[in-house]
Order: sequence, then structure tokens, then C-alpha cells
Amino acid sequence: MTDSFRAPRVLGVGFTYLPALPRAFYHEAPIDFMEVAPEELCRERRALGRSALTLVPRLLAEAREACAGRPIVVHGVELSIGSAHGWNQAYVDMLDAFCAEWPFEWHSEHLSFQTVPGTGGEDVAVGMPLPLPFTEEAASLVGERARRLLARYGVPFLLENPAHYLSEVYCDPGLGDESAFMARVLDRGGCGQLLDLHNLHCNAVNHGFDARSALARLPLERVVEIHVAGGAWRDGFLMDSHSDRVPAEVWDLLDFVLPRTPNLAGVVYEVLPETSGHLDAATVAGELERVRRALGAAARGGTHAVA
Amino acid sequence: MPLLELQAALALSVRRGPPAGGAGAWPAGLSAGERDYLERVVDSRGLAFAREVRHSWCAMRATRAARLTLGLLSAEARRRALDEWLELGGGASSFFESEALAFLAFLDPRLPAPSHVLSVCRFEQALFRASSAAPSFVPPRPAPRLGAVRQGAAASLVTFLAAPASVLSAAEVGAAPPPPAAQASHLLFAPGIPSLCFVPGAADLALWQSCATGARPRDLEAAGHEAARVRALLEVGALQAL
Repeated sequence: MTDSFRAPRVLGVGFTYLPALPRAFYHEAPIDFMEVAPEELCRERRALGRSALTLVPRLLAEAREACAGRPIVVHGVELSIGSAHGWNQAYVDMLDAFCAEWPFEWHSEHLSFQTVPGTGGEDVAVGMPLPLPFTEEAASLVGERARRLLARYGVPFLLENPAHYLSEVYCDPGLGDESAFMARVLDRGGCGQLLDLHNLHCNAVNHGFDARSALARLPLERVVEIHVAGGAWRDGFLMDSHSDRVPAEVWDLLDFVLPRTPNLAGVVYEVLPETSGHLDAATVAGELERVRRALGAAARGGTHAVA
Repeated sequence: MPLLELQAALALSVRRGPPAGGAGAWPAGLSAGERDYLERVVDSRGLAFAREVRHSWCAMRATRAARLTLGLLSAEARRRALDEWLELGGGASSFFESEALAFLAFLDPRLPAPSHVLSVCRFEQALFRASSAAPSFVPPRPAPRLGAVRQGAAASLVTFLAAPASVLSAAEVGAAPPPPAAQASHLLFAPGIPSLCFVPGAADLALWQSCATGARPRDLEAAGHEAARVRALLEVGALQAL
């Protein structure tokens, strides 16, 4: 497979764009770049069983004003890149329009699927993302789609390791585990990885494996972006709710992995609008400063230049 | 395509639980190994938890989407409505407006008529329709002569049994609604109105009702509707040209 992976320019410390936060926060916070979910700026219209996503000019203008000229990266949720019956074309059409309005440094999606075909062939939303089976067929499917996205937008495309609660994921004999599957997909797709350390931590805790060993088996030179986040416990499971401060275990993983990611271009403290309303500006700023200190320490070690 | 069938089987198990009929119910295209996997995973604690998480996400989306309408239902009626909606696959859309319009359309025929809760349900639908159309609404260029008109595609008339503000305030906090007033109140929604709705006068109401299935200018004139009023409602999208 031709290797089309190219590392983007270094951006630094990033934060999720949340429409509900006051603009003053973004203007004053120690943020180098913003991560935008373009679906948040859209309306969905349905006609004849098909969906179209339309950017809302007012929401787009507010986002641009809040981001105050900082570079942005796109973090999508709705593409469903792993759906066997087809990805969400409405998302791709919308991303075309978004890209024309507001160019981004790179874009990313989750390595999962969230739609299946209905009885009439229409897309049926599962209601939550589910992990792909670790199979050659899934790796080839996503790899081919990643290459199409790379060609379409001309900027790096990243895949994020998802959290999931299934006690077991189907695996082709001999293909290996989550790390091996991610490595296979990145190779097929020529794309980079968005390494979500909190997702990895959740999976390690919920499914009983060692997160550092899993990291060591990933092609870390493909990691372009890292997410750190906090979650919550429910019924004995650690959830990737992106609702809280970053736990110590995830900071440890960040410190462990930073010296091993030579092409890292940014670290984002990720929160979700639905679950993070209780976090105040000072708390968020504190987490962002902690990311910057970690990057500074790694830079002083001479491993990369993000800080 | 084992991937397609494996995904369909897994998605169905998360949405509805294990299929009735045991191992024989899995799609025929799956290998013995894939069927064994599904048998193990559908009975696992992890899949049960995934199902719970999905259910709570879908319930949260639906609850946010019809907040005021649900606020006027009893706890039992609210639970039943949500369960029925989720059973039909509702709550799965990440898009707030799509979810809201679909869930409110589902609730509408199930609510007593007339009732405060039905008024609020129609209020929420009218608000979503008008606000959704507002960003792209362009007032029609004034024509020298009026043509046939009908009610605007994104316009709605909502009838309340008491003062709208008191009914909506009760819905907001889940309090008991006021007793019905002697006379109904109305709000007319249209995408070109800055506040998206106004209190129509008797003449606006009569004109709106005359245009339910379309009306020709001479019929409107014969019924006593003023051309200036027709033009004013066209201007804000409450009416539209046929």
C-alpha cells in the first residue's frame, strides 16, 4: 500500500468548541486551536427518505467569532465510516460546504459504525456508535474510505479509537486486538490516528487489559492528535462521557505517550456539551494548562516540538 | 457480506435485545464463528450495559426534544410515551430538530383534544417549523396583482384554552395548568416574523382559515378580506402564493 501519511503542522493545545460557552471564555483561555464538530452547526432536513445537513449561517458565524481566528480542526461524529452498507453521504456533502467556508488543518472521525440499513435500504440510526469487528473486511472498507477522504479534502484524515462496552469484539483469527486492528486500518488508509487516551483508559478498565501495552503496540508515529477527557462510573463501567476533569491515570498515559509520538500536532481537552455543563471556566483553563505543561516537559526532553 | 450482517445483528441486539428463536435467528450469511460470537456477546453484561446506555441517550434526546409537552404529562403518561417512542426506534437521531419534530408528531394524535398539553405540543411543533425555515426565508417580491394564496408551508396557527403565557409557564416547571378561559387564545407562527409568532386579530384569523386549501383573490375579496392584509401575511410567510 502506498503510504500517503503526512504529518500536519504543529498546533499545540486545543479545546472543543461548545456553542453554549460565552465567547469571552474562548478569547481569554490558553487555547492554540479549536476542535469543531460541524454537525453542531447544522440542521438536518429529511425529504423522500433522504437526509441533508445544512449549515446554519448564524451558528457558523458565531463559531468563527468565538474561535477568533485560531486554526481549527474538524472532529466529526456522524460519518459512520464503518457502516458496511455505506457511509453517511449527507455528512460528506455538508463537510464539502463547511470546508469551502472555513478550511481546517485536519479532520477526524471515530473508528466505528452507527447506522445499519433498514428494510427499505434507508439508513437506520443505531442510537450509539458500536465498534467494528476486527476483520480484514472492515479494515479494507475503512481504509478505502479514508483514502477517498484524504484525496477529497487534501488535508490529513485521522481515525479515533472508540470506547465501547461490549465484553468481546469479533476478531478474524490471527488479526489480533484493538491495537492491531487500528494499525491495520491506518496502514490501509494511509491516514493518521486521533489517540483518545480516555477511550483507551475506559476500554482497559472495562475489559481488563493494560493500556500501556496497548499503546506500545500502536504505530505511534501515526498519532497526530491526542484527546484527554474525563468520564463517570455507572453500574461498574467507566463511561466515556467526556464530562469531567481528566483523571490521574489518563495524565499518566499522556506523559507516557508524548515522548513516543514524533508527529503529534495537537492535544485537545475534549468535553461534550450534554454532559459538561458543571465545569467552570477556571477548571477548564486548569486542564488546558496541565496539557501545556505536559507538552513542555516532553519538548524539553527533545522528543517533539508541539509545545 | 458478513460485515453487513454482523453489524445488522449487533445493532439489532443493542436496540431490541437478543432475537427470539435463539441461534437459528441469526442471518444465514454469518459463519459458525460469527454466530458463536453473537451468542456469547448478546448474553453478556457488556451488551446489556450498552443497551442501557443507548436507552438513556435516546430517552435524553427525546425528553429534550419535547420538553414542554412532556412537562404537562403525568409521570406515568410521560414514561409510557417515551417507552413507546423508543420502542419504535425514536430518540436515535443526534439532530435536535429532526428528533423534536418526529417525536412531537408521534405524540400529537395520542393527546386528548382539546387539551392544554395538545396546545403545547402544537406550539412546540409550530416553533420548530418556523424557526427552521426562518434562516432561509426571503419575503416575496410584492406583485402588482395578487394571485391565489394558501397557508404558508412553515406557518401554523396554535389555539390555547387559556392565556398562552400561563399555559407555557406551567409546562416549563411541570406545574398544573390554569383552568380553561371563557375564550380561546391564538398564536400565528410564520418564518418571517422576527419573534416567529404574533397574536392574530379576528380578521387575520378569518383570512388564515379561508386559505386552508388555497383561495383565489376574488373569493377573498368577496369574503371581505382586505388585499393589504393578504399582502402583510404573504410578507412574513404566514401565507404563500399558490
